Amino acid sequence: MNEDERLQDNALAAFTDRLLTGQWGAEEEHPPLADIVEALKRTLVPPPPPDRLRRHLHERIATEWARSSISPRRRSWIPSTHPLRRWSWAIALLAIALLATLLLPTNVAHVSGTAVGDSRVLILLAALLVMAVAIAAWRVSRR
Amino acid sequence: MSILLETLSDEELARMTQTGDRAAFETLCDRYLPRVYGRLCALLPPEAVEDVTQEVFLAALRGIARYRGEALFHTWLSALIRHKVADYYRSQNRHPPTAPLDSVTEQQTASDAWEELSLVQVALSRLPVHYQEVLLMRFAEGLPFEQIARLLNLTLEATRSRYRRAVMAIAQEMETHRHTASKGSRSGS
Repeated sequence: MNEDERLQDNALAAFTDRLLTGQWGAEEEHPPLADIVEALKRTLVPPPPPDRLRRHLHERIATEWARSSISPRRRSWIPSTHPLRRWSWAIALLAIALLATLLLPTNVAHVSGTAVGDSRVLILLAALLVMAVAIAAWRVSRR
Repeated sequence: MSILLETLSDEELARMTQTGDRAAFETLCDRYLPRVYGRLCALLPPEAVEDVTQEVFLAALRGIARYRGEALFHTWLSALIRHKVADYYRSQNRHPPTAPLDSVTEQQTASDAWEELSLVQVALSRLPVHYQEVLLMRFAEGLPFEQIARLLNLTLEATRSRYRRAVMAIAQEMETHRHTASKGSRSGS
């Protein structure tokens, strides 16, 4: 930034500050863009919010607070919405499923009246199903 | 309201809200009501401002558990305001005012002040967000440049420079829109 630009930046900022605090005299020399700043002051500087709005807001917050589960802090069954923690949680679940697949015995005797199949595949499928449900529930809870 | 709460930072109050302290959230509301209201006056038609102001704070309350303190509370709330403004225009099946000057010129019903407000709103809505932010903070929220610099994580010099570029950009947009509107009214007549 060159010196000339810096001076212009400072002049416009100083003009704005004095205009907004009512300290700018009409007879003083206006910097470039002063007319735009004056238009912005006329249009963007708001009136104070009405007291009625403040009262309604506090009433609605009280209602919402009583209805919501903020107090005490809501405990989600998903530990966190932070992406890193969410992935850690998913990887941990998958690791448990894989360990269960490896450690559970597969040569158990068949019991009549029960389904017969490869239990490792079933456990893995069940773990994947749990993960899919968890992800779907998380996505729904975000809306 | 507790004097102690008023001395706490926004981020500390947000954390206390997350642990179930309603007074902390009410302190945040009182602190931010003029700023949120001011921003929405600059971005919405007057009849929508009060409703959307309340919606912003209720959305903040519902979403406070997701605030992780990685950004400043002001930044988080500003993003929420932008979403609510977008929601408003979507729900009304309309965009931020695009051609109010035409209708004003044709109907001759609105005051000069309304016309100027509409022109500024149109121009503002067409600026990049970082220019919108600095103008809204200075005029609608009434923050001094030193505080704006802290919130934007810029030096004071860089903040003043961005401010002047934002004023130049909105001047350009206002001129473009005036030109388009006058061409439109000429071709319409």
